[in-house]
Amino acid sequence: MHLANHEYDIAIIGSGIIGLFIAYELAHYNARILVIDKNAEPGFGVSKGHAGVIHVVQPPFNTLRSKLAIEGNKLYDDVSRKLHVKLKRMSTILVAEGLTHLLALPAIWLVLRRVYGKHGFKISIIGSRELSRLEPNVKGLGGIKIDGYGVINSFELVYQLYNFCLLNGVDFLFGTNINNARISNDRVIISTSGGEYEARLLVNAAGLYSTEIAKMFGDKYRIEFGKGAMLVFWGEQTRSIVTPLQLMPNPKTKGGAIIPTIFGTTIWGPSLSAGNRDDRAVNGNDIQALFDKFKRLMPEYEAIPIKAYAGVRPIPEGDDFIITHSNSSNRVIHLIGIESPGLTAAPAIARKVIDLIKDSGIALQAKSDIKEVEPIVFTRDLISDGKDITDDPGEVVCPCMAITRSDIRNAIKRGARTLDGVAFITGLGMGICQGMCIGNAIKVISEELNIDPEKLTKSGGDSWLVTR
Amino acid sequence: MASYSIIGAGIAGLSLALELEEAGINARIIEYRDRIGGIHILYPGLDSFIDRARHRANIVSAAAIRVNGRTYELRGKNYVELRDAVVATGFRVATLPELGVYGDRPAGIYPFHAVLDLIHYGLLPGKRIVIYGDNVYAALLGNELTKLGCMVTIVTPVRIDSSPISDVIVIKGNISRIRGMSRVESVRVNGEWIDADTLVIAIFKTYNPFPEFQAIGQAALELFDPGIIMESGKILAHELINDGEPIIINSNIPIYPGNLIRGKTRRIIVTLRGGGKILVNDKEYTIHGDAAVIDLPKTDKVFIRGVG
Repeated sequence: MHLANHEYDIAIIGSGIIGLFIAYELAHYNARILVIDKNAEPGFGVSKGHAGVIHVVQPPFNTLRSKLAIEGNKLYDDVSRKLHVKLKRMSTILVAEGLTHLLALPAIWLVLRRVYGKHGFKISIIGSRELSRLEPNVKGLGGIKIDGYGVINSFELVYQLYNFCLLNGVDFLFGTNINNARISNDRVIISTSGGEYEARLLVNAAGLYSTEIAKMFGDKYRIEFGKGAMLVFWGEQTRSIVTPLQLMPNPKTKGGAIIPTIFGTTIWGPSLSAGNRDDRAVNGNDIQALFDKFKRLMPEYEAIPIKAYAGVRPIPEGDDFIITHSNSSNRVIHLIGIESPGLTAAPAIARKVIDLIKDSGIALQAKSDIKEVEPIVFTRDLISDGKDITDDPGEVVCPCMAITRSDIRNAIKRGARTLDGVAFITGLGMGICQGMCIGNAIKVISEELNIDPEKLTKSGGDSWLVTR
Repeated sequence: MASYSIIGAGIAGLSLALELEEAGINARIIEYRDRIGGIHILYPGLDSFIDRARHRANIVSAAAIRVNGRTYELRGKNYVELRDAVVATGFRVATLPELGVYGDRPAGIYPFHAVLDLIHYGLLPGKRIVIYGDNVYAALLGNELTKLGCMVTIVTPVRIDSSPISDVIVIKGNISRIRGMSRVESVRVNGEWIDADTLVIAIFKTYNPFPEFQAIGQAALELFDPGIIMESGKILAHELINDGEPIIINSNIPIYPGNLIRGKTRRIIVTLRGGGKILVNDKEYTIHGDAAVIDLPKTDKVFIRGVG
């Protein structure tokens, strides 16, 4: 049977940050776009397991990954403004803990200045007095300060991209698995758990599953899975991203920092260990490694750890992003191994993909009537700005994060269908109480979704929450 | 005329409100839940007190929230910065990293308070439930969930206050890990996996979310005795009224509400984990449990020392 409404110009597999940014760029053109994701909501894969840091230059410096991160970084102020997503620019400080580190600072500065400076990121040496002025909680003899980093509310980013796409005619299929995909007469036939779809071109942005999608077109890639554990503390500890300066790069302790988040909490991490695709478990060892690395930077500071979580990233062979046409057809574009700093690079990755789509011979004609997304405004934002609350917000559901019934309704309007979805958009249950309000929240979310609480899930699938 | 806002309608907040009302002082309680009594609704023998308070205290449906380091009362569309408030928000639940519990993060991990709310709404958190708790509240919740048809295991790291526990398995030990892809499948206790679909955390910490204000009850004191928790409300009422002679206390063990007492009750709460003997001036007291209410001698200076 020929189903006209199952035909699209471009199908994107994956609604993580990468898939969404590509859909966002494409939504500016007259084209029928479909996004398919196996998860219940956008951004529930690789994207939910990171710390929200906008990076600068990434070693190794001559890679596609580093190039796209630099471009992406510079696009983010615009992205933040257009989509009304909270972004806070800040510096990163590499702290010299010992005398050896201190003596090495000028040499390191010289090397880093060449690389970072070339791309417009300011880099300076700071002494112990300057360090304690900038970061009163941090102990160290001095350090190197690199400007141009940032932290972003990546959940807000996901839902704002998603809503922009919806407003501008992009279709989404959630909870949908790809069974098979093939090329037939210059069209891509995608057979899913929700029926068959056709597109003139397919973008494989399936994250941890990207190699499996590639295999359907005869393209073989290998990825490994890296697990990054993070520990979240209640309250701010630093103003900048802070990490110990390492003279000898040690793969076991590489990466990670003390990160002030956009939510007023602090993240230590991520650690990095070998993992597998479905394993997001946090181990005591991961947390111990974070304490070993970061506690000595703030020996006096006492904070309450509220949550530990882990993300899984796809690490490609050759340690660089792979963004390319399929070997079998120029109607298929693969994005393989988009790991850290994928969030940073995402806006630049999307532009690169648009170029590849044009190379495929798909004509893209710019749309004239683009609809912009409204900012997500919660009750706490109105109070924070001293503004009047015009509509009755209903009862407060989560006092720690000041979330009301109307805030939950707002989150649902933006696409949340699960408890995690509501929590990601609003911050519900993410305070120090770690969900003491969740019983109440389950009732209110179910009422607002107009479903039986037994049908509400944490994150889709079998993640049921309550029974009777 | 003085007027106080009390944040939280648990037994500490209620007892403070009633004591202030009795002295003719205006007090209103802010409660964000649609029930009062806090974590004591399962506690036997407190119904009549909670009922009496429900009718006599001025309880408003509103919430105290913190935005940009300031505390506001949010009630419908109206918000106002809170002053002259007392914090009676009770315990917070210990976080998983504080307890050293790691592993997966599936659905089915609930803090104690959330489970009370679910039961209040006629819902259950699951059917095969492990409660991780070291106190009488964990035992009471175990009983209640058993009555509601759940299979309950209590895992307690130290001890559990004696309380009739029927059909509840009690294991002394620690939980180190949670396993489950979508929903809790098992928890690791003393190195062994126990099947369960739900983990309830019932280990508590004192916590004052609004540190610019004084706290009472379990927001300030790590206590599990409702009598002493209510007493903390009464004591603070008279401290606020300031209706007695000042007494300066020199103590080498923790005392509540502080080292300068001005209320006519002339009482303080002494906390001593596990109990023991203390000297108040020259008189010896024996503390059973973790704390005691002490009537201060009629001197303007008092010395308190732990013995042994």
